[in-house]
Amino acid sequence: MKTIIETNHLRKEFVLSYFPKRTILACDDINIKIKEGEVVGIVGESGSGKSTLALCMSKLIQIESGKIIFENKDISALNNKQMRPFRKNIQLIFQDPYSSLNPRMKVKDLIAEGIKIHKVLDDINKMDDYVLNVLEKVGLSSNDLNKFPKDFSGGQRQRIAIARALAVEPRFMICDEPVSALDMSIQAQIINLLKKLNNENNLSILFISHDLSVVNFLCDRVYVMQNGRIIESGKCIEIFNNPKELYTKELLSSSYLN
Amino acid sequence: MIKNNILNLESISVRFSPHGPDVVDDISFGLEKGEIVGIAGESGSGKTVSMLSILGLLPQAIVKGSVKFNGTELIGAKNSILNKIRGKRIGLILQNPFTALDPMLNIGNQISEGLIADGCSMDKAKIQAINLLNEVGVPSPSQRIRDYPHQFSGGMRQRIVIAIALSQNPELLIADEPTTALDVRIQKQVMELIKRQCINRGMSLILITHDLGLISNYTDRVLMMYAGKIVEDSPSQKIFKDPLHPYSKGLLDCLPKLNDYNNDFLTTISGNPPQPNEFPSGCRFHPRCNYSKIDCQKDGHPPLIKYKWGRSGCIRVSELF
Repeated sequence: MKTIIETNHLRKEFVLSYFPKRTILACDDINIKIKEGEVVGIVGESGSGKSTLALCMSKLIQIESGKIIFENKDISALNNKQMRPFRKNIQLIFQDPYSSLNPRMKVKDLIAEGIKIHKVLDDINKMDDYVLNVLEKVGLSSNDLNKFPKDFSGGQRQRIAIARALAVEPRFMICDEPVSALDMSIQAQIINLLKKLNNENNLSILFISHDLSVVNFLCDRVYVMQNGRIIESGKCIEIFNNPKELYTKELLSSSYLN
Repeated sequence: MIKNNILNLESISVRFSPHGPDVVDDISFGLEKGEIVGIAGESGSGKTVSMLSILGLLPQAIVKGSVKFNGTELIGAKNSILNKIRGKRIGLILQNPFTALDPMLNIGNQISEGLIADGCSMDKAKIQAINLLNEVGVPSPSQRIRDYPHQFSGGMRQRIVIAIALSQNPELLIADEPTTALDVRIQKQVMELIKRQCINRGMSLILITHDLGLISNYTDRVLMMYAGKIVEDSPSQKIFKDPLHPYSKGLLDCLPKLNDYNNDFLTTISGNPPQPNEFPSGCRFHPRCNYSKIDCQKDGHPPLIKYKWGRSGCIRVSELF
């Protein structure tokens, strides 16, 4: 299988605005490799650098040193303009569907936005059909096209966020705690949807979560992060049955219902 | 009901406007001394509203029914009576430790505030505050007592909130999602602290949460709420193996298991939880239920009936479970 994205010795520091001499090392020497069609999980407690890593990999923030290689091209030094063609293929879904959708845009405009920018469609007249098609993929219907985000529940909003990402036909999707803000019965629906997309479209997914049972269900491999470093990695079945690091054991023992 | 119940709710209903829908509809249960009860349910199911309204903390809510705390009626009681109970005999821990504390007061003042109001001298209150901090596991309490909330991490702040709740030695503690804002590792420490304190002090606990993991590990009994109704009342040991309501069963099936390695899809409950103004007639769960029949849509929501080891709000319980 081809490698879709990998990072080599990725490092990200944040400079504190009031104390310019003090820095926080959010990601240190991160080496991650994700193959085509693979679902990879990142677990760790808050502040361990999971989300920073997601932002670095999608180049929403600049990295200090190291390399990000997407489909054999080094994208770590590209500026925003050069980055544009890659943005289509690297899509993000955020934790909170209440703040990640523009409240003043209708659903069809929200989904069409990316399609227009990345010129996914040759014929702009086919837009409506295309948008509807994407919407149906995530389990919403044509009645929802003209609604605003406020008309939807949390789970449905997260579906819209996923539809937005899917609309530009990405090769790789980063999901940053996509189910943490959702209710129990809705979580399962979204997880199933992600799994379906992975099966049908061969989409590679980086799934960030602190819920180990969800990661175990969805992911093939998992990386455990602590204080900006990856301390353990491997197949889910191995890590969860036989954790080596004390920290992983602690994380496992604090997730219940096993 | 049994004599030594410390809290007794009888057909409590809560609505927010005179002609509005009942957000909490006709719930009744009793709480024994020293018992740890979990209230579980999705957001909007009325878990928090039911508990806050019996304490008179929701001034805009219209509450019907009766709540007896050790024989004292709480619904419609004057503030002068409620003030002798709230904080003193019923402690409350809120969800978010980042907003529950006053950022302008040091934590020593915040812990001893209630003690001083109770007639304790300043010096004694301070010693008491240090003891409490020690008890909830804040390191070097005699120095940290002068620190302000922003100098503490989330887990430590929640410990301080717990110390405040414990300061008056309450008989009942209501914890409203005490660990939702905290990390998984900290969550375990905080829950173990709460449970230990309950056992040491013989305190009863009502734990409001949406996390079934917490329910399974820390409670004796669980009340499952759906759309303002209690749908199941079972011992926690039982509900995870043999649920007595299709909703509880559905929720448990939704959860991915850690030792489950077959790559099938999760079973889901279709649809969304209903909003209060669009509660369906009959059983409120019937539109999402796999087992619903025509009888389920008739009349009001079925009352809780005794079945096996608990109570269930499903009319088909004896057929299904």
